[in-house]
Amino acid sequence: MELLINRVFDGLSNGATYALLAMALVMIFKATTLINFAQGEFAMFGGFIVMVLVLEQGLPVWIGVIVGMILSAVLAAVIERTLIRPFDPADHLPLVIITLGLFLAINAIAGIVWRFDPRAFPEMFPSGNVFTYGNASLSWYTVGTMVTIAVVAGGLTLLLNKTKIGLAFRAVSSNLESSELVGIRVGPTLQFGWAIAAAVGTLGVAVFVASPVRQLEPQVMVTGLIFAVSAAALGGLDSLGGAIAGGLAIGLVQSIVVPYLGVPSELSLFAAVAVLMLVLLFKPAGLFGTAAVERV
Amino acid sequence: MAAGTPMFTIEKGSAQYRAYRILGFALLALLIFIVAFAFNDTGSITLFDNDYKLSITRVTKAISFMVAILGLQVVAGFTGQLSLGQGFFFGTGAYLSAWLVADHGWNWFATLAVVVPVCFLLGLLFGVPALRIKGLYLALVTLGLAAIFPSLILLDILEPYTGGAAGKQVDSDLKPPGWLPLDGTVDLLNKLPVFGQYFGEGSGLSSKQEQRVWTFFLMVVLALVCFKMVNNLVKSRPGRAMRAVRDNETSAAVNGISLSYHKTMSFGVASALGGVGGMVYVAELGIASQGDFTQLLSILFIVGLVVGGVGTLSGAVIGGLVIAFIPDWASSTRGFPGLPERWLQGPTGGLILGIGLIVLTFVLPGGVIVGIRKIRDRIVRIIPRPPVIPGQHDLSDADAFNSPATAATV
Amino acid sequence: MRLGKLKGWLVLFSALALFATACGSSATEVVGNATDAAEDAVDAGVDAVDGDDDAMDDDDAMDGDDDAMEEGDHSGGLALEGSVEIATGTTLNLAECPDDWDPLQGVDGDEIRIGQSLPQSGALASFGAIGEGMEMYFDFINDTDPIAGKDLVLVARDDGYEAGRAVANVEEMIDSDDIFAFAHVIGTPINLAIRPITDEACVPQLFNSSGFPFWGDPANFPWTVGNILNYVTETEIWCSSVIEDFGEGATVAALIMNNDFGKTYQNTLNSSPACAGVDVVSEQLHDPAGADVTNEMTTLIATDADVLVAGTTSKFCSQTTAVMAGVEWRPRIYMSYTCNNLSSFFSPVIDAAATLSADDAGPWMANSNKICGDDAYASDPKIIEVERILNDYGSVTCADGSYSTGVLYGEFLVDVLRSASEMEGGLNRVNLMAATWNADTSNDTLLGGTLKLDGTDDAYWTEGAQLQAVIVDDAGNLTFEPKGDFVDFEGQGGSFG
Repeated sequence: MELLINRVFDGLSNGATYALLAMALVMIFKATTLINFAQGEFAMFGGFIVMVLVLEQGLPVWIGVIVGMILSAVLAAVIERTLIRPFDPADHLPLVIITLGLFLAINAIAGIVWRFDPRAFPEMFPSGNVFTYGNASLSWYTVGTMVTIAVVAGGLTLLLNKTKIGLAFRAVSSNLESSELVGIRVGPTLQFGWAIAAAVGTLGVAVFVASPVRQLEPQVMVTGLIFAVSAAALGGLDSLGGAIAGGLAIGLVQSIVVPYLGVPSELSLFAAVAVLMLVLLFKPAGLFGTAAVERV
Repeated sequence: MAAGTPMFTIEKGSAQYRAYRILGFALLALLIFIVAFAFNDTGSITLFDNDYKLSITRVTKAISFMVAILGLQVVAGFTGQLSLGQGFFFGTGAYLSAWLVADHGWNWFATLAVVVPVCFLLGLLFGVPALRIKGLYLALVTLGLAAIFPSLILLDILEPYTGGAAGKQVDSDLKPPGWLPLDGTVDLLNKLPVFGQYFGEGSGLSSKQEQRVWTFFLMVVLALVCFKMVNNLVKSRPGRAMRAVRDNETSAAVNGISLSYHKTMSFGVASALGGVGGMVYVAELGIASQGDFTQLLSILFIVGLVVGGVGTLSGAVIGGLVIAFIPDWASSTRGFPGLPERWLQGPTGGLILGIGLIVLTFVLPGGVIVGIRKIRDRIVRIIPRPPVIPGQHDLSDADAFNSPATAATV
Repeated sequence: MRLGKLKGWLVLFSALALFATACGSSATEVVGNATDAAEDAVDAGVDAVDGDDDAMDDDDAMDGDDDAMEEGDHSGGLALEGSVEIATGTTLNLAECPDDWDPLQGVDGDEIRIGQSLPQSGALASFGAIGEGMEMYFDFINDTDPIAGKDLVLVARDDGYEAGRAVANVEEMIDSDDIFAFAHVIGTPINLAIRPITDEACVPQLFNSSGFPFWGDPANFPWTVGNILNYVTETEIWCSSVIEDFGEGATVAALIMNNDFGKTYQNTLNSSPACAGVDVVSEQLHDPAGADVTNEMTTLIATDADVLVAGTTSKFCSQTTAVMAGVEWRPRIYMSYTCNNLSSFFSPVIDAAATLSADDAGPWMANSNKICGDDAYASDPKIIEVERILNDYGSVTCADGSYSTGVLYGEFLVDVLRSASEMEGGLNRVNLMAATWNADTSNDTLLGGTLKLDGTDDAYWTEGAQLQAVIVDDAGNLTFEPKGDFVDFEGQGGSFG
């Protein structure tokens, strides 16, 4: 029993990071129907920026995180303006290549600057446990990650629904051409989407490595990306709530289904992909995604 | 009319056209010949103090990639289904043929009799769920498939067949038949006035080198067969149906094309080609190891597909060369004028490849093949033969135009 | 047969002549030199043929030749052709080498060119630092005490831990990079893939960085030598320790990295006789490219076993330590010695290490050498020298990565190169293999014991280790505390074949 509880908490806390990354992916997908392969690397780079700010410049942790989020948002905005904007948003192939190129380049830059060994990351949540039940314990860290998702989800929803730019964003994701006709400047709106996505991703990595168990290093998000896209697809690529559900589901699958179904632990990714495929077979647009309706 | 008028304009079906085609094939044959003998003794290009190697081993590796990317052209380029899992089938073909050759003594090409059907069936199997899952979702699921391949290979139950973590080593090498005058050819080439020095050092070919040349030739033939088959497929009725599916599924369905049939078939064909590529890979490199077939490989295949040019056959050739050479050339770059050396230590390969991809997308968004075609179009343009409608004057006949009768009617 | 030998000499000399005059000579000069060389070759070839004739008339040709060609007997130094016995049960069949084989390739100019293929990108990119560390050490040697007056040069190429890329790299390096020998190539599938290539090309493949026991096989693969402590031996050291301290039937939970590296530990735990007395209750394999091992650890923690074995490396060492600090379970922890870079892997989790240390539960490792970053050796002259080399030649410290391991590996290589250069005949490939397979040296970085090889009698290089535990001392520094005597398995490894 205690083991199960521990596993549930494990799954929730891992899932939270996937959820945050998945939300970042969804933000970009909503606007551009593009999957940003470099999302994980943006997030990892943002995490390193936070680490430098906090450990080398001495900023308090949460200030450092916020500043890091802003810096990574700015960086993403610059990248969008210079590398993405010149291309027609409807033509995916050049954009896929650019994001793949960014994936490789940013990973290499992080490796060159900070090298590949693990780095300690400052703790963001109080250490210790909220309560302990025999061998099972709910750590403040797990609670903290869940609270973070809730806050981010809430913040994004507010942003999208109550602000002008959020409205513009929703318009652009719904219908690009009509938005242009109405006078919405599509470029800056998409840029905003990229910036927000990068900030959310940075927060995701920061939360992930702030665990006393984990450390930051350049390869941290290379496999994480697969889990994040699985989570995003599972929940529906255009649904923020779906991203959360998908992330948590993938995390739980990994920690519960794998040991209890006798799947060898090295096949946990396999389990995640299998779950994804099963869901997509019955709901091709993901659990909460909007099914594409084409006008013939 | 056109910005640059081509130097030659050739009409399809004319004698000139035939000559053009023959010239094309001759050039290709010459190129293959030169590559075989010039790169056998690894050549190198030196740029800014960096040594970029050209070896025939890597060219044969590129051929294996070309065949895999050809498969991607079928499923993604011609049928419009973005599959990021080609690495899975490549690896399957590699391990399958390695196991058959190493443990059962089969001939490399005989293994194709197993690899092709098995990978085809696996592809079909995979094509079925792909019917329901579309677009980006499909891409992501296939990426997941590619990512799990190494873990599957390492499963204990498969260890006797896959060699487990140490990899499956294959000793069998393709040995050239004794009557082939490879040594003689090299001697002859060495005697060429200016270029002779590039064809080795006049010591004849060692047995290892002979093997490499022979393997290269065999794999070139295999690749040509594959390309020819895909070419026929594309130009045939099923091929046109696939392209219709790519362009507009609804119209295709309305026109009576069976979507499910063509989609699953394209997956099958693509996977079979992936498996063939895997066989070539192991035949050349002598080992199948799980670290070679990770999700990175599948991503590189996509890079090759797009860099070469989606939906083109020659694009697959270019793509294969690019992903076989560029990562290693990028990591061989140790010094660049102006850049501090520190920045070129460690993962330089990834950095240069990434930046290169970004630059390429700006310069040649349609793939390298677009650039090549533009250059080719400056030199020669093929125009279709104008149709001759019975009863009307031949439009290319200027005199007929100028005659009073036509002047009145036209 | 005579014609073949003659042709061989002709070819060898013409090739050498052409090669030597390749840069910038005019055409006539080249031809002239080649003709002279060819004439010399004919003379030399004739002499060689006569000599060979005599040898071949002897029915017991093999044995007789071996005796005649042993060290220092005849013409001063080991023979550079035919069958040469260089160590116990170890014979180089030089007649089967390629026609253009040159025992002096890569050292006949101003340089000693060493080739290496290693992962500088991808999931195991952190091991690329080893190559950089070696380069720093080579620069240091070139400045302070060059070997035979030549510059040691490391030609390192990236293979991303892919066997296919390594094969292409090695073939290209042999063909056109003028490599004398390969050293410290990393990874089991990679070394396995290139072994037939180096064997056929008669190029030394020294000190494979792979823990599989295959490499101690000089009878069949005399050109290939292993290096790092055999993971089999390491696991057996653990098992002996477990049985000694916990008795037979002790329960063991194992975290294993799912690749060639980790699986050696798994296989040894399950099938070695030395480990027959332990009861492996749970084995969790984890993805080497994965982000973390929390799920696997949760399962292992639930077993409440006596012992936790961590057959994994790099960031997972840190993670395991951190996880264990946060739970109540206090098994004896044994970690792969590849985790012993204290500054890289334990500094980031020093609080966790301190917690475990306070409970006397810090991870035990079978160390063979002094660790740079271990406070106990902070004033050890050898360690200080290593830090200085890293600083002067690379502007890095031990904490920045596995550079100090590169320095240590560089030292092994320089040792055998120097021994070979001091042999009769100087630095050539045959002498290098002889020096290596008969090596008997020690190194101040080692904790004890010697580095000894003796052909098939003792085919493993590093065989001694001492179990040490990671502790945080009273001053708050990370250090290793010895937990037993230095155990030397020297000579007991025998050979693989």
